[in-house]
Amino acid sequence: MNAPLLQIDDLRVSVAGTAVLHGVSLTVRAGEVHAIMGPNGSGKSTLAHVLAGRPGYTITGGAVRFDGTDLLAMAPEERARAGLFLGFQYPVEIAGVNNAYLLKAALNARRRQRGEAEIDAFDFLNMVRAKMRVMQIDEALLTRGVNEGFSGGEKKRNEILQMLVLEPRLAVLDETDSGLDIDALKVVGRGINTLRSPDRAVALVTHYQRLLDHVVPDQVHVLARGRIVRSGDRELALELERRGYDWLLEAAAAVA
Amino acid sequence: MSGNTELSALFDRGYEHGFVTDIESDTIAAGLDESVVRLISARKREPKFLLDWRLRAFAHWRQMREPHWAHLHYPPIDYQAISYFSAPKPRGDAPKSLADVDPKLLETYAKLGVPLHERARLAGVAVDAVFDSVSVATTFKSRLAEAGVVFCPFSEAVHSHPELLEQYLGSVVPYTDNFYATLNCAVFSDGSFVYVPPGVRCPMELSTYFRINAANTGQFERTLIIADAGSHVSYLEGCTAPMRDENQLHAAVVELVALDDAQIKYSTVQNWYPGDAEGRGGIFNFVTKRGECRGRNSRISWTQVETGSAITWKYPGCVLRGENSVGEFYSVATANNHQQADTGTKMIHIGANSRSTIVSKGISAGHGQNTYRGLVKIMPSAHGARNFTRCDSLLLGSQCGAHTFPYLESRNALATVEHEASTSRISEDQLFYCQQRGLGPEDAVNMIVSGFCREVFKELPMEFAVEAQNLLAVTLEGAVG
Amino acid sequence: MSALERLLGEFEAQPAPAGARLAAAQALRTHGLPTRREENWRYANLRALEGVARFLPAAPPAPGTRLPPLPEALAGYTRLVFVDGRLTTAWPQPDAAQITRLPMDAAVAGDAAATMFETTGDGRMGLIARLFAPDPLSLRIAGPAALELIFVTTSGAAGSYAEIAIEIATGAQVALVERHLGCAAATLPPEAPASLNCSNLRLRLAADAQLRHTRLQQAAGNALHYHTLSASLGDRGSYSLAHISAGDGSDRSSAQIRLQGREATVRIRALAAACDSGIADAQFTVLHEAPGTRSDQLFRGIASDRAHISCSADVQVLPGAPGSRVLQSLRGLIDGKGAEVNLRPRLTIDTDDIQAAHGATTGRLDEDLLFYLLSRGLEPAAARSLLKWAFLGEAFGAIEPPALRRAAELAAAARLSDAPATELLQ
Repeated sequence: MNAPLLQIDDLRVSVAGTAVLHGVSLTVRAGEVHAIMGPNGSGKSTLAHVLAGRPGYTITGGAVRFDGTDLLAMAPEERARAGLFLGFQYPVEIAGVNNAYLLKAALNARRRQRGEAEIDAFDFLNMVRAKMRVMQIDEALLTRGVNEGFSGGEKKRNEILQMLVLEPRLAVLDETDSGLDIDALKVVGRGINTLRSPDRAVALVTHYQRLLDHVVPDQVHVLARGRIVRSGDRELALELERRGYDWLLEAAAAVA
Repeated sequence: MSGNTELSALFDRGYEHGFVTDIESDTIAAGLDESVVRLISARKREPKFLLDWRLRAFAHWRQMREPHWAHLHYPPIDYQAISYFSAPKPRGDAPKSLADVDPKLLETYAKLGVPLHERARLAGVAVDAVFDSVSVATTFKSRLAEAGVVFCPFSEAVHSHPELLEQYLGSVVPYTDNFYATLNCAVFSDGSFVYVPPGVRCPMELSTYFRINAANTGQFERTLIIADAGSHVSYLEGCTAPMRDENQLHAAVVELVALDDAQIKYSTVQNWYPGDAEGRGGIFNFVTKRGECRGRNSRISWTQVETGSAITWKYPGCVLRGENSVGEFYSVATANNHQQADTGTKMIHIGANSRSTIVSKGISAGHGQNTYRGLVKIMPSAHGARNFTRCDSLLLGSQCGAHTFPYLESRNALATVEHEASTSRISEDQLFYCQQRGLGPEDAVNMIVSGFCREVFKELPMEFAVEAQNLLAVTLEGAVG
Repeated sequence: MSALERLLGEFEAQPAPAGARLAAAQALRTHGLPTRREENWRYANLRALEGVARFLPAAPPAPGTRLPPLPEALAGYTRLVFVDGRLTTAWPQPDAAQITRLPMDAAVAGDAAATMFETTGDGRMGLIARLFAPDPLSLRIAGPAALELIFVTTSGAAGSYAEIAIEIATGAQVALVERHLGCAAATLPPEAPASLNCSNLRLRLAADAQLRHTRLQQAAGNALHYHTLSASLGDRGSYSLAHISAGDGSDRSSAQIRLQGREATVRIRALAAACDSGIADAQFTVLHEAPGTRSDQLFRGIASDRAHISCSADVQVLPGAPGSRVLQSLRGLIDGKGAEVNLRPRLTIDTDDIQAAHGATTGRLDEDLLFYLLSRGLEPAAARSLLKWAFLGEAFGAIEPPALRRAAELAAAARLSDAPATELLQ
């Protein structure tokens, strides 16, 4: 078995004095796809944000190791350069900065980290264009401002495009499926599958199981009230689809 | 990590162009009275009309009171402590070519990256280099002469084209205009003169590098650009200054005249010494710039990137007299540390169907105070006139200020004036997003800021756009941390 | 002699003034009246002040003098009527149990910030009201109340002045209506000198107090109105001001609203409709002094014929007010050869945690909309009036109760060159 890529041990997090995660433990190995599911307000997005180092969260306990190093001690950009990618639920718009520029700057930051030379502009464009075709993104979007005036679906596809270009070791995708129609969901699923490989891992944070029809997970975890209340395989997701979350919440309440 | 503390530590690089060239200056003793005005005029062997004009301006200036504005704060200027004339000492006679120019001066230009030698030719830029007050070298004269374009030091134009001067000097900015412009009229030292004859498209970008050098030397440049019917000209003005601990006054006047179907594009990158981190020293930049679209279908476009000076006070404006004339103003102004920038534009619509566009981007950091002040005035004759103004402010830090003071004055029922403005800081979400993609906070801020300024940068000629982008990065370094 | 010298002369000729009045005279002597060189008075009609023949207030109307007809009463409101600045309603009113009357000098002394505004700031015109107001009225409102103040002028030959201070207690909800009817045109010969009307209104809202304030300004032909308003808000205080200027004379309103308490909110809806040579000039300053404060200013004005309309909206966010939000929208329409619209939206921002935006436009009716309506078969005049009415609509929306809104709409409609169809009026 592979060494763990991501190892979360008893992670406790609070926001503005209120505890949100009450001791989450999770191990993700290279080659695996994990789905982290749960009802609204369960702490799914908090977990994703804390892994990426978003400001505003207080770590009150526990540890996270990424590829053997202390993830929580790293600045957000260091995490990114080390190969951790967060697909945002609500990607921001940055007026005046074009997509191609951001993508290239991000890629070069990652390459420098690995001791590689900056990518040639021509190679870059060819590579990005090929991946845009996979994601069915109009090439014209490359020269537009980052996410500026994009539809909800375009923003999500653009997130996956960035992931494909940056080739992270671990992609944490926060509600990437929300707001997508069936066709777009297929495209996004295909994009994620493109990234799957024995040395990479994906954590899908999602409310619904429908994305899992396209990206079949190795493990499914249910996060509720700041704890992982159950883990299982793909069957668990289907069961949730049938039964909802309430039965698990009741079980969790009984434990707490 | 809070976005604010993040944003307030990225800001400390010394002024790159901080050095003083040791050249003997031929300087008139400090002080100002009528005899100084006469002396300046005599030294330049000016015709009587010009001396009379200077004297009228001086008499008027003595009646004027120095303006004070609510949002500018600076110690009083002692106008008697300023020397009103300073010129690098000519060796023998005036330099005929670059070989005649003081090598030290050339060295200075090299440090500044002024493309004066072959680099200049390669860059396609004609440089009328102003060192202190007197122009010392003018290149590409022959190529311009072939096209019939006159591009020379003002003091030379006084002798070569007195009739143009008499006709146009003061016709856009009258000698009574404002305290600093009036002072300039009385004591202006030198500057640039451009005349583009009818139908001529100026074959190259015209460029002047200004530099303030001798201590306590007020700079009173005067620029006059006349674009005759159907002509086109693009003029670049770039400024750097040596490190000084005393405030230096700069009160330039720029007048532009565009006749029928003529176009003038005037671009400025202003990077004078802003003072140190505590606000000591730095240039007081009180400049009057105005263009008149005198003819039908004429167009005047001002683009400026203002990163320097302790105090900047300038409102490049357009008087849109001609029918269908167009005025444009694109501006990026930054105020960091203790800088104060008070800038904007005036668009006066007189001609029918005249149009104007204003895009202003203000960035405040440290203790900087950035003010946009703009007037759009529609006169009763301006049927169908249109203005659109977009004015955005970005705040980096909690000690700085961003102020927006537009005036919309309309007296025509068929005219439209539109103004939009916003003020915000770089959002923590944007910063985090960029960081999550692997960019350091400083790079992220630079990227977001240049995105904010893009609309203006794209109006600059290419070589200036690059310089402006670099300047901005240097200016705002340390704004995040 | 200048207006200032004359008015101070008339004031001093009165028997022994004291207290706040004396201080007001002193302040006027020291700081003078505003001039057009001052930023916030750039578009003001100050020259007309020089044409005022007599500053002293009118004598009490002779018994039996017929008052101009008063507007219909607003249900639920306590009405106070001032004739030439004199309170003619018996006080206390039985339906105003929540309201207590206090000495004016104490109210003036107790509000240093408002005093600063009046002595050195844009509130100086309010000092004229203080000098001469025959019946200063200072009220404290403890609980829910609705108050209607009506100001009527009967004579053009003398001044009419009102000085009013209202303090609203913690959590109280108050509706305040102010109607300035000026001098009924019929009672004045057209060549009569300008009649001067000055009011000075001070409002103080304690924590959680709410005030909905509507001011309807309908100056008659040669009336000259200067209104001064200062308001301060405590924590979570909420103030909504609807200001309608729809008169034939000249009016100027100066207001300063201070958001001193956390999360205090002010919402201003101002509307001006002027025709002939009417002048409507409004100036609103909002100071954000505490964290999380909000302000929202909206102005809509239509200048017809030779009328001049101006609006200066000045918002200052001070360093102690992070998390503030500011919105300004000023729009003017010009509809006459000699008409003029001046807009001056100003933002002064000294803190970085802020979202501020403003927009201002002057111009004509939207050609595309006009074409759309014409292509649907509307008469040009009807289409224009419809669009003008839509343009003003946003500002009317804030006016309550409906009877007052109707009065405001009728007043504004009378000042448009294309009268709106009656069915457009509420």
